[in-house]
Parts: sequence; structure tokens; C-alpha cells
Amino acid sequence: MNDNILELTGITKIYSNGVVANRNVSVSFRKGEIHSVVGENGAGKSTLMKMIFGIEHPSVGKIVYKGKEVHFANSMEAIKNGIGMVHQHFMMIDDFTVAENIVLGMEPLKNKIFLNKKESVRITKELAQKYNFDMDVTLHVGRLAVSAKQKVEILKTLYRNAEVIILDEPTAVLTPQETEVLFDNLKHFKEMGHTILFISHKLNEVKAISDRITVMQNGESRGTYDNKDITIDQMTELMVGRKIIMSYDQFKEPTDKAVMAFKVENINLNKKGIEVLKHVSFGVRAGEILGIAGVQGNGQNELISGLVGLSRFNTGKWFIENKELTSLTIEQKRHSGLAYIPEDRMKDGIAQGASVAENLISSYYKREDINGKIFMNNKGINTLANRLIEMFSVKTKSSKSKIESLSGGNIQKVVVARETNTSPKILIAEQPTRGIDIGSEEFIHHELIKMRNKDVAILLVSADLNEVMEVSDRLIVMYEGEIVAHFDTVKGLTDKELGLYMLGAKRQDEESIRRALTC
Amino acid sequence: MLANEKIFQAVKMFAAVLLALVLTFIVLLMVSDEPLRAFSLMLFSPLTKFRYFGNVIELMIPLSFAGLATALLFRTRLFNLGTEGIFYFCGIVTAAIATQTFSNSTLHPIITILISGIAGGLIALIPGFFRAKFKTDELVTSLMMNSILYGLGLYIIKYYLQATDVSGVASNLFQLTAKLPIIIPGTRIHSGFAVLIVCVILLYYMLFHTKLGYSIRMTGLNGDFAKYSGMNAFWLFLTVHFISGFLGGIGSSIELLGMYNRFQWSTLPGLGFTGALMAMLGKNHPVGVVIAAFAISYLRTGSDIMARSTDVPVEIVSIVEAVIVLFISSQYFLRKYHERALIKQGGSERA
Repeated sequence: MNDNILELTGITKIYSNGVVANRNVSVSFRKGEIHSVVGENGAGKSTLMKMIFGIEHPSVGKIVYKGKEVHFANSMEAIKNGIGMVHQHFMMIDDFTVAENIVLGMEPLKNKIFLNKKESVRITKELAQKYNFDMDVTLHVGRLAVSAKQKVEILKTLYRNAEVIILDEPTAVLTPQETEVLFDNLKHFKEMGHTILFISHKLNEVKAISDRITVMQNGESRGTYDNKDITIDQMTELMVGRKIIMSYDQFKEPTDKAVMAFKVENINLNKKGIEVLKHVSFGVRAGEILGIAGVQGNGQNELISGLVGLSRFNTGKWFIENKELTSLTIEQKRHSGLAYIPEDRMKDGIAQGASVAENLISSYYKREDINGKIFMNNKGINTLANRLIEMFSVKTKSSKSKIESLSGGNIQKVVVARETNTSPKILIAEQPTRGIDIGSEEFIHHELIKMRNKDVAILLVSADLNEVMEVSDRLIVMYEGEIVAHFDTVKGLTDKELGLYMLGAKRQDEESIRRALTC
Repeated sequence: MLANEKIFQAVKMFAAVLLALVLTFIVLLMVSDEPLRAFSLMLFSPLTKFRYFGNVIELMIPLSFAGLATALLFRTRLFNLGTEGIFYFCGIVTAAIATQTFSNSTLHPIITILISGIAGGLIALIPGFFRAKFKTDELVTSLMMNSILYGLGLYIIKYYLQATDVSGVASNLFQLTAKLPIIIPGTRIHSGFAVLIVCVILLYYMLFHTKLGYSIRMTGLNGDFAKYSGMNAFWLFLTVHFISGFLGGIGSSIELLGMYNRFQWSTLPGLGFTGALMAMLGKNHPVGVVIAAFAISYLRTGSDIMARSTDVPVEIVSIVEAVIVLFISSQYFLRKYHERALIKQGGSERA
């Protein structure tokens, strides 16, 4: 009578640092359905999935799989029992072929000792055909595109006879076109009897693919709904309790854009024989936001990390107004008016173990207002910190709390508060809202626009199409280390069209691209 | 009650010590004919006589200096164990100056200590430079430096400073003008103790109230973040290495001028490595290091007295130390209870 393959009852997970990731969550998954789990980043979706997959263990509550209560000690046990997971970050060996990666750990053997490579290739080929995946299994994984790597990850779970497949934010790295292909595959799996757990925070995708949808908010489940019974607006409301503003145009004040605040000329970077950046040139005027769109891994990371001084280019010059930054140290670049919101806030943006106040002053810790002759002026630091905390409504007990006790969104607000407080001429914001809740995201977008209105030049790099299109004034698209398109305005642009440029299917003529610099 | 991180750490520390003592007692039961007497001597004898308690403080001084030197490096996330070699070599520098005749008994120790400190700082710059410039693993270079300094030191002692009145590895007697005065009568506690207190205070303020200290702590917590913020790791690594070497150098000098009449370390003294233990137990905090040094000195003094009057060898103290280190450095020890307490409390501010 019970067609639930997997039931979670009263799951609570508290990490040892006191963070509550899940609180009393009960969900059941039916056999052969595509079941989406949606929620803002930090709502506890990933943790919940990790518990099903045996990577994390619930503090309280039970997991019933196929009618039996299970306690997977690790992911190996989950895999043995037919649960597979495709992580956001792929776990593969680049120097192995597709076939080798798929059979890794469960290789077919010859005489019970030797690897049987032919057999591996045959099995994986068959597997790929069976599930309508068109791919050459003898290629090395390192040479595959992101979407193909994802397919390999999925095949890996299928090779291990996964009945339940968990996909954690699978579309984050895909273009709209690739997403459609993935969805066709998922529907095919469903027909073959697999259960799909689809984790996402993109509601239109969830709506397009799911049979049932569970909404998570703040570590708790807000209920499971049949797809037909819930609209995107309702989901949004459940997730955040209010509707999202989709355009920021009304907040943009006219700026004269007279000054070319930041200019980048002919950047080239060659890494191990691969041209990572090719003739990248563009300019950002004071009082505008230039967006850089592109699928991740098309040179954006290398470009930004070089511009801020964390790594080097082979050739290229860049300027703030007329001052050349090229060979200055990071400290000198910052002094010249460069501020930077890094992509990986936990790695570059903050120091875990330090207080909120200490994290709020790092970019200008030598500044006079927070220093005495010998000692740092703790009073001044606290006043400044408290002012920033209030201005950015950072939710924290006090400025002395450890930064890691804050949620992702609030940590990011700390980073943004600090960087905007350097009174920059150019602010480079790299994925400024990735992985944070919608409330903080909106707040940060507003801050960026406020800076723009105050004649700061802003360079916004994001893999989130919505973000670049909502916030930017102008837009360039990067593909394989090159600027392939430049748009004077984002009005009238569709994500379908942008997707074509991002995928490399389309490319503007040189004249239009050159306008990225001279505009 | 275990939910608060600080309380949890304290409870963990207490539990580790308690467990270590229980284990020690079990060992004593097996090896000793009078385990109870041995145990109580080990635990309480330093409190029974003023002189014994003085021994604790005397031992605590070099351990603290070694601990401070190492803690500063560890804070910057530099895993450098070179304090050992610096302690040894700066002892030789001290011997070279302290055996010279000098008219002023105030200046003589001060000059000796300062020069030893500077020598220590310069020596530490060698692995520091390689780390800062070439990203050479400072653990490897500093351990190699220990051997090099030992060989070099032995050579200098043998060929230039060898005592004329005794055989074996030793220098001539230090001039009386160079000796540190005793500041608490009835013990051998010398003025180096005051220098230690001053150093702890200076180091504390440097770490927590200056720009240098701020950049040290941020670099230690997250090197990528420090770089991103524009901090110059090159100069920071050199500075930190110099200060650490300086602390090691003056610590060595103070120990010799306070407690010895001549240089007579025929092997590496082991104080530098114990410094790493102090740094770890003291969580790389200047005050923590001193507390750890006091605790370890207390235990060692106690076991020493115990060994003298019972059938238990002094090495028993290593068991206590080892067990404490194991439990305190273990990330998992008591974690379950910590988590359970968190669940009861319903998590912290982030819901």
C-alpha cells in the first residue's frame, strides 16, 4: 500500500558549531517521481540530501528506506543500497577516461585481478545508450565540457544501480539549452522507474520538471505539494514570505558617465599552453554597472583574479582613470580605488575565527580613523563596525561575535559593507549573491545600485543570468576567454539569446565587441 | 551547559587533565609499591615548600619563552620548530659574551640578553626568508637548521669557548657581573621572571592591539584573505620570524644567566620542542602559554620530587603530558556531548 521509497521523519541536524541546518523535517519520496526540494540557499536542502546519502548524520529523527529504517555510516553504504548523488562540484579524476571514471571503485576484472578495460568501455557504452546519453566514453574527463561532465556523474550513479538519484543544483552550471537536455534525460529516468530528487532554487525549472515539490525555509519544511497545486508565486511566498522584485530600473538614477573609471586593455593569459584569456579589453564608466555574463569556467575567474592582483597575466594593462594599476601590489591597487567582492567569500572574503568587527576593517586596517599612534583604536573600530552592521542590517549578536556564527547572507553583507566602505572608484563584484538568501541578495543588489548612483564604476561578474540582466547597465559575454558580445543596454535581451552567445553558438562582429572598450 | 564554546573548551581541558591523572594513577598502581604516596607527592609536593614552588617558577621561565616564540609562529600559521636550535645556539652566544670581563653588572646581562635575542632573530630569518620568498616548507628548513646550529655550536664551543678548568662540553664560568639577580629570596627565581611578564604583556598588546598583530592574526586565520586584503606576507613572515627568534634568543640567554654558572648543554636542551607543546596547550595565546608553562612546570617539579623519594622514575610525567596533549588536541573528544548540549539548547543565534 505504501509506495514511498524513502521517508524522512522528524529530522533535525545541528552542526557542532551550533548551526541548525535542519529542524524537524519530515518528507516522503514516492517511487518513480521527480521530487524537487526548493528553498533559498542556506535553507538546509543540501544538508538534508547529504543525510540521505550518508555523508552527514541526523542528530535526531529517522530515515526509512524501502520500508526499513537505515543509518548509513557513509556514502558507500548509501550507494550499495541504491542511492546515488550528483554533487554541485564534480568528483572525478580529470586524467581518467569517461569509462574509467564511471567504473572507478567497481571495475570489471579479468581473472579477478586485472582491470578489464575493454569490458569497462563496453559496459559504459551500453549504459550510455540505454539512458540516451550520446558520448564517447574513451575521452579524458578533463577535456569535457561541464555539461558532459555532469552526464558522466549521472552515469556513475546509474552504473552503481542507483534507484534514487539526488541531483544537487544540477542546473547551476548549465546554459538554458543544456538544462533542457538534462530535463529530457531526467524524464527518461523517471519512465524507467528511477526516483529523482532534484535540488534547486530556480523556481521556473522546478515547476517545469517536478511531480511534487517540497519547499524548505530556514531549515524547516514548509510542506510538500503536487506540482499542479502550487504556483511559482506561492512557492516564492513560502520560501521568503514575500514577492521578489524583478527589475531594479526604477532605483537607477541618471548618472552622467563622463569619466572612464576603469579601463582594461588587451589582457592575454596562457596557462600550460591553453589560451585562457584572449585580447580582453573593456571599460567601465563612473556611474554604470558593466555585467560580465558567461558560463563558469570561461576565463572570468582568471580575469578578475589577475585584475585585483591575486595572479598574473602574460600581457595587458589596466587603469583606474589614468593611473596604471598593472604592476602595483594589491595594497597599492586598493589605495588607488579598487574594491573587490570575491567570488568565494569563505576563502578570500573573510577570516573565520575572527570577529565581525575584525572582518569589517581588513581592507583598510591601516586607515587613520581606526588607528592611534601605536595601538589600533578599538573604540573607533567598534563605532565603525556598529555603524556598518546597522547600515547593512547584518544580523549578528554583536560586532564581537565570530563571523562564522552568521548565516551566508549576513557574511556576504559584511564583505559588501567593508568593500563599499573603502570609497572605491571601481568595485569589482564577483558572484556577489551566490549561495545566499533572496532577502540578502536583494539588499546587496540595492547596495550595488546605490554605489552606481554615487558615480562608482561597478564590474559585476555573475554566472546567474537573472542577476546580470536585472542589475547591469551594459553587458559583455565571455566565452572561452574572449569577449564574444557587447550590449549597450540589457533592455530587450532574452536569456535564450544570451545563452547562444554563452554557448559559443553566436558571436558579434569585431566592431561591436570593440565598443566594450570605447563605449 | 556545554553549549557555550568557551565553557566547553574549559571543561574539555579539565576532563583531559583528570583523565591523564587517572591513567597515571593506574600506571602507578602497576609499577609502584607505594602508589598513593607517589601520586600525592607528584600532585601536591610543589605546594609543601616555598623552595619547591620556586622550582616551578624557575622551570616555567624558559618554557614560557620557548612557548611564546613558537606560539607567535603558530599564530601566523607557520609551522616552524626552530626554537630548539635557536635556544641552543643563543646559549653559546650568551656564553661568549657572559664570559668576557665587564665592569657594569647592570649592563652586562642586558647587553648579553639583547645580543642573544638579535642573534636568535637573525637566525630565524633564514627559514623565514625561504618561506616568504620561495614558499619553502618552514618545518623542513627549521628542523634542518636545528641540526646545523647544533653542529656549528658544538664546533664553536670546542674550538673557541671550551672551558679551561673542566673537561667535557662546557664554557668557562660566566662572569659574576653577567648573572641575573635573584628577586625572591629563599628561591632561585631571578629577574628573568620580570622580563617574562613584560614580554607577555608586550606580546599580548602587540597581537591584539596593533596593526602588526592584526595582520598576524588575519594571516594565521586565513592567508588567502590576508593577501586579498592587501597585506604583505613577505614582510610579515620576516617580521614574525625575527620576533620569534628574538624571544627564543632572550629566553635562552635568561635561562643561562639565571640558572647556570656556565654553558654546559652537550645536546639540544629540548626546551624549544617543549615550547611547541606550550603553544599548543596555550592555544597560541601569550597568557595561555604562560599558564600552560606553569602547569607543565608544576607537574614536572612534582614528579621530580616524587622520583627522588619513591621508587617511581621521573619519566612517569611524560605519560601525563602525552595523555593531556592527545585529548586536548583531539577534535572529537567530548564532541558528542557538546552536540547533544547544543540540541537541547536548540542551537545558537542562527536558527
